[in-house]
Amino acid sequence: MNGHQHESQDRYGDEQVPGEVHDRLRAAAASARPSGPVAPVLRAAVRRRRRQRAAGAGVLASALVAGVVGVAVALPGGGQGVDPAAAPETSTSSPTRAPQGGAFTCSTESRVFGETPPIPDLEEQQRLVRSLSQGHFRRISAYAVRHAEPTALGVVALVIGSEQLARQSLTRLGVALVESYDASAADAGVDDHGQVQQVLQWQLEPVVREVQTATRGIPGDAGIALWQEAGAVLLQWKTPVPDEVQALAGSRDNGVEVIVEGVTYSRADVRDAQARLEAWLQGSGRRDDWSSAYGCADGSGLVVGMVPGAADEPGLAAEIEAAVGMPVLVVPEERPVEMLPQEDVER
Amino acid sequence: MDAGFEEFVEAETPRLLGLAYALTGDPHDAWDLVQEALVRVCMRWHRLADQNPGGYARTTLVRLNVDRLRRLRRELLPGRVPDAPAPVIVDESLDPWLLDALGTLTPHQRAAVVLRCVDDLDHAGIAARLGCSVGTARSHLSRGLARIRDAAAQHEEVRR
Repeated sequence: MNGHQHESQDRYGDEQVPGEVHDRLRAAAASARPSGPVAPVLRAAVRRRRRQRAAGAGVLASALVAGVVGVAVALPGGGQGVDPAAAPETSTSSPTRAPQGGAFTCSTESRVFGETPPIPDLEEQQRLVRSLSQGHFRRISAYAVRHAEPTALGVVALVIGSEQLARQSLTRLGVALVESYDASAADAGVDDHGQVQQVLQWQLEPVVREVQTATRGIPGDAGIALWQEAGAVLLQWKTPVPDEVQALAGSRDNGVEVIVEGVTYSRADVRDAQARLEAWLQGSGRRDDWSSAYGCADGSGLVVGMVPGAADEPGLAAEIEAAVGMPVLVVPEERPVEMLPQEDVER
Repeated sequence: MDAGFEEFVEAETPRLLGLAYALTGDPHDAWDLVQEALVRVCMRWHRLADQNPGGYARTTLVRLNVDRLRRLRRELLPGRVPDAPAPVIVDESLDPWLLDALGTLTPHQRAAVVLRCVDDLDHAGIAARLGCSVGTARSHLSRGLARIRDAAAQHEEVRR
């Protein structure tokens, strides 16, 4: 038994790390280093990410314009409105084309990353948060509220001291979720809001598992995502959505909403299209111009990243569409960068 | 890129690579994780610069690794050339038996074991990195270590 093992045993009781494992993991970690300068590679990677984001924002702007045009056309008719109370649980997305057969567009990032639905009882929650940060609720003998904020699932309070007593008294006041404040989270780069997001994630994860278990083996899966800002789990499924999948939509006991969204293409469809794209790239000699391929976030087609310059070629999207068999959005994207070995950099 | 961020990258990359290699056992995967974590730090640099960008990067890296198998977006990228040199140099590679043993752990268990060994974190620190409760972190670590101990004992028997 070596020194490390003794140290681990002394400090952590029965959680003994075998000395050899401990030493080898530390030695491997300590011996790892980049094989070339990192900053130039990072600069290229950040540029690539910014281009991706810009492409996503551009696509979103087009979609919003199309949406506004649609509303302007529908309102004068008077009979096209949708009664919110009668709106179905399932929303359906479909391929979007500009009028007169223009280029296909779709969102490149899931709305769970960009959309924050309004909190219906926000003012009430804000009042409660203010009351928690003032007066005797801020510090009583058994616990103290370290941080509280409104969320889609109600007010989340992070406390120090007795979590149990805090939960008993704070839930009576209307606080939805009470968890211990983690003082070490700041060292991990997680701020107070990040801790609240984590608490929301704990509420969503069991629902994700429930949905995954219930849908196992049913064809048409198009993706599942945690949506903390909405207190929801977003399940995308290829239309027509089977009844047993549709039946999962709705609220759970902890307030988490399952949103079932019908989409045009499943993950399996996207994988098939990716495989056909690879064959087309090989056959057409365009492999060096290609940077990535992934499904549209709304399940309506395929996003194909091509290097800037190639991406602007007229007719390229149509050519790829014909090869892969689904609508294609071509976006300019630099190729992923790998680091060069040191000897190549020095040459 | 901000000069402060470039300094941060040069200083922090070796440690991040070490953690990523211990988590993945593969130099290419380690580099992918480090690159993605650093890109995310860069995109938030103006907010993180005065806080704890190193902690944020390590937490992001650990969570990215856990999420690798359940990513929302399945991205197809140009394939790696099989003979291309690894972008990362590792002088002390992990033994195959240890790689196999780590490979039998769940992503959370493996992260807990690595964070204990490499970063010397206690339960609260592991919980913060993984984004779980302290009790859950304790459970991941305990189960992960139990499996690793079994594998180490078997390896020891084979060597005799």
